[in-house]
Amino acid sequence: MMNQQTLYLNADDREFDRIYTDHYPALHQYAYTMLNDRVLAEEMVHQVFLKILEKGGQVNVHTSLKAYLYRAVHNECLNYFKHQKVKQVHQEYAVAEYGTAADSASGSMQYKELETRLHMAINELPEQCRTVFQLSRFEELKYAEIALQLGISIKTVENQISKALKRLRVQLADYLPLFCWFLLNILK
Amino acid sequence: MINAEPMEMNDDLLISSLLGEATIEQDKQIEEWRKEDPANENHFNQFKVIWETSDQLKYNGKIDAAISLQRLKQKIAIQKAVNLEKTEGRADDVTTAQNKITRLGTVGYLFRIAAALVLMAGAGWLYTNHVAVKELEFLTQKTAQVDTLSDGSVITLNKHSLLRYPDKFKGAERQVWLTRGEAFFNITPDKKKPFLIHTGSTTIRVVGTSFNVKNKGEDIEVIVETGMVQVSRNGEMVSLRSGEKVVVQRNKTNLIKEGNTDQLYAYYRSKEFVADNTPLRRVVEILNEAYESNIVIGRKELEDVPLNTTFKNESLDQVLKIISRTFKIKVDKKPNKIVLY
Repeated sequence: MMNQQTLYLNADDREFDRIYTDHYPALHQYAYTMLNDRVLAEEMVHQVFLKILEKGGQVNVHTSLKAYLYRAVHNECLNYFKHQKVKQVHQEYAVAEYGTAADSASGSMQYKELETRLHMAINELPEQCRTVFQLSRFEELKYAEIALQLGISIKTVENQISKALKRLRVQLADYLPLFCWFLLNILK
Repeated sequence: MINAEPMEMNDDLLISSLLGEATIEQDKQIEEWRKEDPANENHFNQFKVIWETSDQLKYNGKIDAAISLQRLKQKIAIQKAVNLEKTEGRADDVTTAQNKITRLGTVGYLFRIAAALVLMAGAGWLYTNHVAVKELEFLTQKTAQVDTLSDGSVITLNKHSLLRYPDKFKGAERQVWLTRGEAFFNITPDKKKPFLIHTGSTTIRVVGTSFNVKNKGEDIEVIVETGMVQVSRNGEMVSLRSGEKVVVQRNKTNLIKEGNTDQLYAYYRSKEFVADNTPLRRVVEILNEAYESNIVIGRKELEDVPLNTTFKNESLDQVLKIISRTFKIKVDKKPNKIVLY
C-alpha cells in the first residue's frame, strides 16, 4: 500500500483532464468546508494544480495521489487564511451568521455559535487528522475505504478519527453540555 | 454483560459505534453503558452533537468538474503567457545592459514574438518527445498570427486567442479546440476525415471550407465564407452555407441562422476594414476590438448611419478623421474614451 511513485502531470494530456475531473468534487468539498465559500474553494483547487504545473508537473506521491492532493489543498487553504488574517475572517463569519439568525430563537443563535466554533476547531486539526475526518464525514466513506484511498492502515484511520473527535470535544467543552439532548431532537 | 461494577468504556469505542464501525456486540455494550447513567448518555451525546453539527458545513450545491476544468485551462494558458513575457522581459534587460542599441521597432517586436513562438514550439517539441504528448497549443498575445496544421489547413488566430490541436490527426476525425478568442479556418478538404472545432459547448463540423469562429465567452459566432458547415450544441444542429452565420447564445436553446451582413469580421486576417453599407455602430464595435480603444457614439441618430469605405493599414487617428469628414461629425478625445457626436 505504501508505494512511492513519481507522477508527471501535463495539462495538454487527456490523463490530466481525467485526474482533475475525478478529484475535483472531493477537493472542492474539502476547500469549501475550510473556507465556507464556493468560489474561493474552486480557486484553492486551481492554485494547487497551477503550482504543480509551474514546477514542471512533477508529483512525488508517497501514499496516494488523493492524499497528496488533499494535503496540498489543506495547505493552500491555510496559506489563504494566513494572508487574510484568519481571526478577522472568522469574526466576520461569526457576525454574518449572527445577522441572519437575529430574529430566531436564542437557542438557534447559540447553535450558530456552536457551528462557527466547530468550524474553526475542525480547520485547526492537524492535516492528516483533518483529511481522515473529511473523508469520513463529508464523503461518507467507511474506514476501510479511507484506508485504501489514502494508502494508510485501517488502524491509522480509526486512530485519526478518534483523535479528531476527542480534540473537538475538548475544544467545544463550554458549548456542548447546553445542546446535547435539546439539539439532537432538532437535528433528527 | 450485566455487572454491579460500572462498565469500562473508552471514547475510541464510542466514536467507532457512532460512525457505524463497531461490531454488533460493541454496539450493545455501549447501549447498556449509556442507560447506566445519564452522565454516560450525555458524554456520548457530546460526540453525537459534534458529528451531526459538522455535517452542516458541507457544500450541497451543484459541482460541475468539466466547467471547472475549463476555467483551470484558461488560467494555465494565462500562466504560460505570463511566463513567456517574463522570459521576454529578461531579454529586454540584456539589451539595455549592452547599451546604445536603439529601442527595437515593430520589426524587433515581431522578432521577439517569433522568438517566443520558437521557444514555445521548442518546449512543445521537448514535451512531445519526452512525455509523448500529442497536443499542441497555438497562442497569440498582442497580434494575430497564421499557422498551418499537419493536414494543410490554415488557421489565422486573432490576438489574445488560444487554439489547441494535435501534432498529427489520428483516427476518423480531425479535431481542434478553440479555447479562447477568435479564428479564421481555411480547411483542407478531406471527405474521409471531417474537421471538428470544439469551442465552449459548441461543435462545428466541416469537410472542406473556410469560415470564422469567435468565442466571446457567453456567445459563439460562426460565419461561413465558402462551402458548408454544421454547428451543433447539446444535440441541436444547424447547417450554414456561404454568407450565413449563427450566434450560439448560452441562455438560448435554439440555433437560428441569419445572413451575414458585413465583412468587418475578416479585418484581422485581411488587415483591412471593409464597410459596405455597414451601420456606424458596428464599425465602431470592430474598431474598438481591433485598436483596443473605447469609442462611443454620442448621438443616437448616428448609430445606424451607413458607412461605405475601406480602411487599410491606417492608424486609428486617420480612421477617425475619415469618419468625421464623411459624416461631418466631431471627434472628442477624452483621456479614456473617444466620443463621436
